[in-house]
Amino acid sequence: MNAVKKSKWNASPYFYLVPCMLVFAVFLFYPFFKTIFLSLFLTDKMGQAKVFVGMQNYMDLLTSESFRNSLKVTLIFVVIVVVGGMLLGLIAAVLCNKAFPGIRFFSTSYALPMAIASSSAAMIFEIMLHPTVGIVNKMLGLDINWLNNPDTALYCVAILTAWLNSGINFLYFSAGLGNIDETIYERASVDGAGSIQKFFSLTLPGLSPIMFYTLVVNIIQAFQSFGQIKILTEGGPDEATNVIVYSIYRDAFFNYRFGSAAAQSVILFIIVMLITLVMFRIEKKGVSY
Amino acid sequence: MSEIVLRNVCKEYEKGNFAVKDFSLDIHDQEFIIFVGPSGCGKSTTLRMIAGLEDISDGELWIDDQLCNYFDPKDRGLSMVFQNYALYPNMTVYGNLAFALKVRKASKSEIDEKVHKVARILEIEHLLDRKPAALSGGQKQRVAIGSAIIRRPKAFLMDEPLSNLDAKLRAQMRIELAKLHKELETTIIYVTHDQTEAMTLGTRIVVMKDGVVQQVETPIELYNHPVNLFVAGFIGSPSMNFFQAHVTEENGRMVVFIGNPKDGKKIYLEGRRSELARLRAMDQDVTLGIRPEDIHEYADAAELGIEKATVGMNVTVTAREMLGAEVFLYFDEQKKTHAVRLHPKNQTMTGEKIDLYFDPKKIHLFDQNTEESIFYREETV
Repeated sequence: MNAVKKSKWNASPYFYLVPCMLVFAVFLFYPFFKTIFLSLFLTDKMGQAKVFVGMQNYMDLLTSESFRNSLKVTLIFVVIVVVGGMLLGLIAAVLCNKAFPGIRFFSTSYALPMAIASSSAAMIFEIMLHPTVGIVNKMLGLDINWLNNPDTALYCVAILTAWLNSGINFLYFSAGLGNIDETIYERASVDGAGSIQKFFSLTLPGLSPIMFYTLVVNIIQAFQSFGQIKILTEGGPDEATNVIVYSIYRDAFFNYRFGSAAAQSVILFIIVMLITLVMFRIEKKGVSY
Repeated sequence: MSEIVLRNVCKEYEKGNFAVKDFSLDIHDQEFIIFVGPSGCGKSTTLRMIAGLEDISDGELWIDDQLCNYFDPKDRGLSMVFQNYALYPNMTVYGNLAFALKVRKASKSEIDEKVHKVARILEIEHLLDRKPAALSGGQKQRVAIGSAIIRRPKAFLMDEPLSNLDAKLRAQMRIELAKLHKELETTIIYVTHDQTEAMTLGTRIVVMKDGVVQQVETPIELYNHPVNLFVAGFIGSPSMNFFQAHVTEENGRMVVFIGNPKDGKKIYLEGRRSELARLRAMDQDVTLGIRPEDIHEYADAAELGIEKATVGMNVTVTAREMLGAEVFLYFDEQKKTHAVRLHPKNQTMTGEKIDLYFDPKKIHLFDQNTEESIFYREETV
C-alpha cells in the first residue's frame, strides 16, 4: 500500500515528450513570445529590438486610418470567403450525394480546388480577369479592369479564395452527408416531405456537427489568406485588398517596421482567438445531437 | 376502404436479372398481409415498390382503383415502418411523431392533439421531449409505429419492424401489433423472415422464394397444405422432416415405402390420397414430408387407430430436448436429422430406441422433379 502511495517521480515519460516539445518550442512558442516581445519595441532594419515603447505600437495602430481600413477589408474578405466557400462546398456535396452516371467526374472536379496551389490559381484568375484578353470580360461583354478597380478587386480576390476553399469544404460535407442515415430520407418521402423540406429538416441538422467544424476552420483559414493577394493585387489598389496578413507582411518586409507588424500579428491572433471562443460557446447550444 | 392490387409486378435490376418476378396479389381492405421468405427473396423489394421507394420495372400497382406506378411516395397515401426505425435523430419524439402532419401543413392544435393521442395509445407520453438517441430499442419501435399511425393512411407498410428487438420484447410487440390492427381497422402489409410473426399476425401469408410467389394462403392452410417442398420446409419449427420414399401398389393398396422398400418401412394410403398417389406418382420416387407432431409413439398411434396403416420405424434417439409442455426427440435417418414432438411423459433418453408411427393422413408427398405437392388441394381435384 505504502509503496503505491509513495510512487516515485519518474522522469522517463517526460523524455518521450522532448522531441515534440522541442519542435513546438522552436517553431511555435519562441516565435509567439518573440512576437509579443517585439510588439513592445521599435526595431532596426534587421528586426532587432532597439527602443522599448510599451503600448505605443498598439496605440499607433488603433489610431491609424490604414489599419482601420485593413480591419474593415479583412472582415468583408472573411465574410465573403467563408459564406461563399461553404455554400459552394455544400451545394456541390448535396448535388454529388446521389448516384448517377459520371458522378466520379463531378466529385473530382468539385474537390479539385483543394489540390491547386493558391498561387497557381491566382495566376489563372489573373489571366481570366485581364481587362483586354480575359475570358470574364469577353463573356460578359464588359470592359472592367477587375483587379485594378478598388470597387471590384476585393470581391475578385475573395471569390477566388472562396472557390479555393470550397474543395476541402466539399470533402467535409460529403463525409457529413455520408453519415446521415439514408432511410430517414425514405421515411420522409413516405411521410410526405418534398426535397426542400427534407433539406432543411434533415440534411442541415444532420450536417450541423461537421458544419461547425468547417466554419471554424474556414474562418481561421480566411483570416490567414495571403498568396493570392500577394500575386493578384499586392494589397492594392489603394489598399482595397490590404487585409491584415498582407499589411503585416508589408510593414515587416517593405517598411522594416517589425514592431508594428508584430503588434498587428498580436491583434490578429486575439481576433481569431475571440471568434473561435465565441463559436465554441455557441456550438453547445446550436449543434444538435 | 382501401384495396391494393398488384398485377405481374416485376423488379429487374439488370437485364434478365429479376429481384421480383410476376408478383400478382389482391390485398383486400383491413387485411393483415405478410410477405415471408428467406433473405434475398424479394419481399422487401416488393414492399418498397408498393411504397414508391423503388421503381416498378414491369406490371401494375393499383391502390383504390388508381394506377399508382408513377406516383411519388407521398402521393400514395401509405405510411411505412422501417426495420431500423428511421427516426429523425435531430428531432425529439414529439417532432418525429408530428413530422408527417407538419409537412402536410396541419394546424398546431391538431398536431398537438394527435401526437398526445398516439403517444397515449403507445404509452410513450413521458418520452415526448427525448431525442431518439436516448431511447431503448423497444421505445424507438413504438415511436416509429406512432409516426406511422398518426395519420390515417390507406395502408401501413412494415419492413421487418420487430427484427431488431430481443425475443421477449418481440413477443410482446407482436401481440400489441395484432391489437393495433384490430383497433385501426386498416390494411397492413408486413414483411418478415420470422415465420412465427407470419403465422401469428397474418390473415394471409405470401411465401416468396427467389422473387417468385410460392403460395398465398391463410396461416393454417399454409401449414396444413403447403404447395411445394419449399413452403413445407419453410413454414413450421422445427421444420418438416423429409425422407426419400417410393410409391407403389401392394395387394391393391397404395403404399409408400420409406427408403429402400426391402426395409419394409411402409405407410398405407387411404381414400382420396390413395387415388391421387396412384394418379400422379405411381411407381415413382418421391419426397415424403411429415411434421414433428404427426409422428407418434405406439400408444398414441393405437389411440389414433393408425398403428395398422403404418409400420413402426425403429430408430435410435440422438438428442432429446425437454421444453416442459413438449419434448423433442431427434434421430438420424437417411443421413439427415429428423425431429419428433411427443408428450413430455415420454421418457426415452438419448441413445435409447423407440418405435415411431407416421400418421398416414398427415404425410405430404412431393414430386422429386417439380417439388410440387402430390396431395395439394386434394379436396378440389
